[in-house]
Amino acid sequence: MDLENLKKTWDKLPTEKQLDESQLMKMIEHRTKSLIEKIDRNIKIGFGVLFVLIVIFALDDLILSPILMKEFGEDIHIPGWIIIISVFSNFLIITTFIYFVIKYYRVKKGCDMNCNLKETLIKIIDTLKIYRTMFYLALITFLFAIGTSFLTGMYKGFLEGVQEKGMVLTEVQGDKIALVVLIGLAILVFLTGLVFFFLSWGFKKLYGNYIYKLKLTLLELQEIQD
Amino acid sequence: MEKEFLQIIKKNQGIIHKVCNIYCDDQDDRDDLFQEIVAQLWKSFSSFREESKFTTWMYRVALNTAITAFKKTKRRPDQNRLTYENFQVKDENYDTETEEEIKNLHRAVAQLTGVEKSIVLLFLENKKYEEIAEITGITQNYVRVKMNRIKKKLKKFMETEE
Repeated sequence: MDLENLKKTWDKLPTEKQLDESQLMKMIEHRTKSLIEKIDRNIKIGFGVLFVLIVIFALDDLILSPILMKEFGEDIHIPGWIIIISVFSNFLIITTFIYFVIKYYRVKKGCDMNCNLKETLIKIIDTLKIYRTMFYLALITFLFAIGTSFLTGMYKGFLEGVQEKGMVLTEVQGDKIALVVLIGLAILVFLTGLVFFFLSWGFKKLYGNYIYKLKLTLLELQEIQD
Repeated sequence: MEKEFLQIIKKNQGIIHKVCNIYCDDQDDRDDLFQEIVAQLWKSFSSFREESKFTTWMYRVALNTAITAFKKTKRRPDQNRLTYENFQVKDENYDTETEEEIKNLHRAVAQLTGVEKSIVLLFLENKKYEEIAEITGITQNYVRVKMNRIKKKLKKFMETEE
């Protein structure tokens, strides 16, 4: 069977049932399942996640931290540089996401399903890739911020504990210091690992997996121009 | 705008049926894709600028949707593979020979990639290379090259079938 034969057979295919306007009307309200539409939906979810994160950060800064500081003594002084890193990392996470959303919708506004699909896919994949790089940079900054905050807090706590006993740090036994450092590092690795895993998993679920899927479609399209 | 859209889609719905026919081998998938394409056409309708014919634009959106939207997510082992039973070609007016030809057509088309299917569909619809190029966004030369490759691919498939 060559293409000419296929053409003859194609013309013999049965005519499908014609749908009326009311049936078509129902279809236009249908939620689409295309990869690009799913990314659109995930951006909205991303906004939700970001909002929750902002609320958590705000609750921590405005309510939880002051309560804890009252509980453990009002003379606890948080170093300025920790506050700067913390604010910077939060700022980076938020601006990175907003930058991604603006760039993504610019691409989408300029080109959609009715455009050259290959160009649209290339632009969307590039945007997602840039966002992936920026997201991991922001995540590393965030982990650095929570890591340094944790270590500083632990050091201060240990120091105060030692001072309460009327000693100075140099008088504490080396193996005790080593034990504290080890426990501190273990907790730090566990906490940052957990945060990294959770945020990284969330990113892959929302956007990362689509880079792969869109690339597969793009490869199929590019195969035309081999 | 909604009324205008529904009227024009109703008039040209044959295009969507044909796209669904070439991309899907069972009725459920065809229905899903049909719905998906209509929804996507509606979403893109406001950006139709009449720079091309409506049917050209419609083919483009429908084929782009079929390529990107219809990566099967359902993994049903008994339905992933192409089977004769999946093709609903029963028609009182068909003789056995025609039925067999239609089954062969679907089996041959199933060998092609998503993009190849779009080119074959337009070829089967008697579109000129110029229009195929406009719809798919590739040059006429590439359409010719691709058509030759598709011909070879189909020929090879048919030879192995015989």
